[in-house]
Amino acid sequence: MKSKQELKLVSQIIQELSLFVMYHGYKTYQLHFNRQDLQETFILILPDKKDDMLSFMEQKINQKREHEIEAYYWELLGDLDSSFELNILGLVIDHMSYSWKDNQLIITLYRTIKE
Amino acid sequence: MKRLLHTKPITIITLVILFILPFLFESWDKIVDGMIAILTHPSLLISDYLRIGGLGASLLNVALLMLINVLLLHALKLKLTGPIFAGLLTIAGFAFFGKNPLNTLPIYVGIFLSAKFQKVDFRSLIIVLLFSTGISPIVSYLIFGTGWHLMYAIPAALVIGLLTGFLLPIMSVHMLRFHKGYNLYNVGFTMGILSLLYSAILRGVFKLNLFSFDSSTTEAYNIPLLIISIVLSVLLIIGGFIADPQALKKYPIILKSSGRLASDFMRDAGKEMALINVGIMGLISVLFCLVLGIGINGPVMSGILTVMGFGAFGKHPKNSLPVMLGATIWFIITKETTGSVSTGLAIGVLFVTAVAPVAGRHGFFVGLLAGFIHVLFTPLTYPFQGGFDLYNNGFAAGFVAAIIVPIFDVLRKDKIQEEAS
Repeated sequence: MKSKQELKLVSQIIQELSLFVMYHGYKTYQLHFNRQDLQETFILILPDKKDDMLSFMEQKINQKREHEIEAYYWELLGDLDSSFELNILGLVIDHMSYSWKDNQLIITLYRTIKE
Repeated sequence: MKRLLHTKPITIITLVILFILPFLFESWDKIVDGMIAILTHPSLLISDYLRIGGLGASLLNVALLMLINVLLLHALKLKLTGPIFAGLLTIAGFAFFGKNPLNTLPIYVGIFLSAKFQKVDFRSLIIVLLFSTGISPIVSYLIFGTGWHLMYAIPAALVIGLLTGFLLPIMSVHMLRFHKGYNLYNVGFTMGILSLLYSAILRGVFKLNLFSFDSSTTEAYNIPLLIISIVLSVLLIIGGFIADPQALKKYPIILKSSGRLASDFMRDAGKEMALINVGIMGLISVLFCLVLGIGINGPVMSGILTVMGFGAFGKHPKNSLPVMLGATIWFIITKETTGSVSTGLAIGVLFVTAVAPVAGRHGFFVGLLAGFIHVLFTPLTYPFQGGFDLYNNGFAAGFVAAIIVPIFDVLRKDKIQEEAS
């Protein structure tokens, strides 16, 4: 993917994550983005843990990334219409992990990038 | 048993059956004559290959197109996913009316050139490629329909075919935003826009009449095609259950999905459950044909196979039945008031499922409304795009989704806030 498209895609992932947590009722959250050589990470920090939301995220995001689909449907990222809709995000993220630390839920999404 | 659906032999057996099937119905000579008639036909909407080439040649056309695409997928090392399955069955369906190896290949080459130009992996354009051939009549029409000398017609068809393939991946990504993924036939919508351009040039500059061709259909093969549709659907259901007897437990995952792009049911609920859903969608399509008295011709067969294909990629009974019933209301009104129903409206009852995600998102009654409006749109979009876009329903569905979704999104704003709180 070209760099301009890659940057747009990243901004749309951020938009999708923001919308997703707001649809789930979060009024406070932090979202960090970090890009290193071959990997991008999106870190969501939430003040409490909602099991339904978390298991849904795991189900959608921990599936295999599909590069051939990603290049076509990424334009729909960031345009969520309901709180249980993460199909496109699942296609563009490799995997996620989460931890509960100091009364905060930390969700990390990993995305490898091609040279 | 799960491996049953994951093995190469299934693909090979299917291809062998596809190549044997034509010869069960017709002789070699008749099939060859029919194939030549298909390959040299302008193929604009609506060209029923069953009428033009017969059942044997149409089935051979299906087999050849399947072989080409399966070999391509194999060469690209792509695995079977929901959208790829939908793409393959759509190609199989439209091999009964409009697509053939001659008019599809220039578009494929154009997509390959587009990948090279954009410096992207050719594999990443596979979804566009599998649905791209809906605009293949532009190639056949320029060669066999314009009346131009072949010395000019063939290069013109090749150039336009390549250009079409080149432009489709660039345009189709951006068209998604128009209907927000609520039209499952997005490439069909994109091709409608491109067809509009071709239609304007050919009608305006070259003064060509695009609607002078015989668009009659034949229902002479209704019974064998009915049997093929039912057997295929039942086999998929049985195959799914044999491969995973517990598959049905995952059906709620599919039924809860709005079906909005990109809902890959093979990914979400497993191949086995997705194939059961494909079979169920096939039986629903056949049931609608039987109840409404729709005889199976080329376009209708195409509709049945396309609905089945999208049973792995966005369509399920809960989101499809409302829109199909909405289309059925207009079908019955038309039949009762005029005494007959056009092929376009008959296939609309099946292809209306392009807007199934609207029902998946906004419920039964909005789905009913979307289905009703959709079949009012299709007769308008057909002359608009000139018949080059075989997915005329995909073109219409883009407008229907773009009208209905924003309106009902505003109306249910409170509900979204309720979900969030």
